[in-house]
Amino acid sequence: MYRELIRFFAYKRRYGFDTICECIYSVIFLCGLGLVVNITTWEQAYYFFLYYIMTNSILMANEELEYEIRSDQYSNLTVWKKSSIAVYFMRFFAYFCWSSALFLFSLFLLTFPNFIQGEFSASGFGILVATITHLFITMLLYYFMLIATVRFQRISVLLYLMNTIILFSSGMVFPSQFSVSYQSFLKFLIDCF
Amino acid sequence: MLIQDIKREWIHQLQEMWQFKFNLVFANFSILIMLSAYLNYFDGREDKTVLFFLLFVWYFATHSITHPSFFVEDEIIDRTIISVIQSKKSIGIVLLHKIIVQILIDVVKAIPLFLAIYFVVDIKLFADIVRNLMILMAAFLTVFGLYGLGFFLSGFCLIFSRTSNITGLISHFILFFAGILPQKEGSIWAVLAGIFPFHTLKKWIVLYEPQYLWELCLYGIVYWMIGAIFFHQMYQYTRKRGNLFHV
Repeated sequence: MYRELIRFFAYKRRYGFDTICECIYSVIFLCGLGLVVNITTWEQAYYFFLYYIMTNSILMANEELEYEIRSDQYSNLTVWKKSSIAVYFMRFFAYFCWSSALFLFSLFLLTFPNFIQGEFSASGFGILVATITHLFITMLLYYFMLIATVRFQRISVLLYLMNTIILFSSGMVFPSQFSVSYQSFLKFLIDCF
Repeated sequence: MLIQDIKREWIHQLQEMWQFKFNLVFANFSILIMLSAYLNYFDGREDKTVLFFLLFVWYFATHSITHPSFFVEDEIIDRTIISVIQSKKSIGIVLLHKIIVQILIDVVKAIPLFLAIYFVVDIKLFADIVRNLMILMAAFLTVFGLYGLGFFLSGFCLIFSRTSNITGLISHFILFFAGILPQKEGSIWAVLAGIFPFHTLKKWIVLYEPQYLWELCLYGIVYWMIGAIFFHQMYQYTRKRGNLFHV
């Protein structure tokens, strides 16, 4: 896992200009969305963070896997001792760290100089349970994405569609139009503990 | 001759579009969800009709900024730029053909998409038909002007070969900070938004005063002048250095 993290950052350093552009792109996206939905509480920021971690990690992994399949580098992965799926599960950690860093930096920019005021009125254990559940669901979706990418090779447009649906109807960023949403499920978990 | 070239390019683009029809459907469905959601989210805070027109322009504007760069970048990476340069027409004219065809292709894609949004979100257009048509005209004027900005950015492609990431982030910047979606007045972003013509277009839609139409024309002229001069200079520079043909 640590080696994958080193590999990831070495790759980012190797394509420095692309990385800078990607960072600016992500910051614009996150700050833009943050301004649109007006993030003022820790609770909003927490759900926004969960949304971003889930979708960005899946999209990054899909982009890399599709590139490896297209450039025939994927065949190298298939002869490793570990399965390619296991390799990509280790890479998830790198995507997670990268997405978290981008999110925190964007949140800092978005709320500077006042930062977010007030506390998140929920128990720490409840937040932990909700976060672990969310990460479990993320890993499950991540697994399905890997299987589907290996099988169909190009599914990025479908994933972007799913991302849009999650963004606007999960309730994690924009208020959901439905009475029951994914965000209300996480809130229920937090409230239970 | 011009019409024939455009017709040939149009057929080529349509065939290419048809090859990726599933991608096209998913991508446009995604935009449909996104734009409908924004229109519903700002309902009550912002005039829906104005936002509808602005989002219509944004749909075209993203291509106007990115497309010239993508074209130059593809030609350089595929090493076909030499054929374009050696052809009878200048690279600028070829790019102009592509721009006209891209606008036509976008119109074909935008009609079903925005008709769907119109019915799904229940948009009420202005009662005066002439006003609606004039707004559409101003929208296309803005889009054509923004292609000048795309022309300017594609000049960087001649030197750096890969700049599509920059153009990608500009299109996101336009949506959030250039005056398409409502933003806080007096922020640093509002100042930067002055580079783009969307605030002027918004004033034209809301106030419908001719001075804003002239301002839009001015934006277009400035973009095209800067774009054409910069592109030409970069083209001459890279030709002399000879690095245009090495990827």
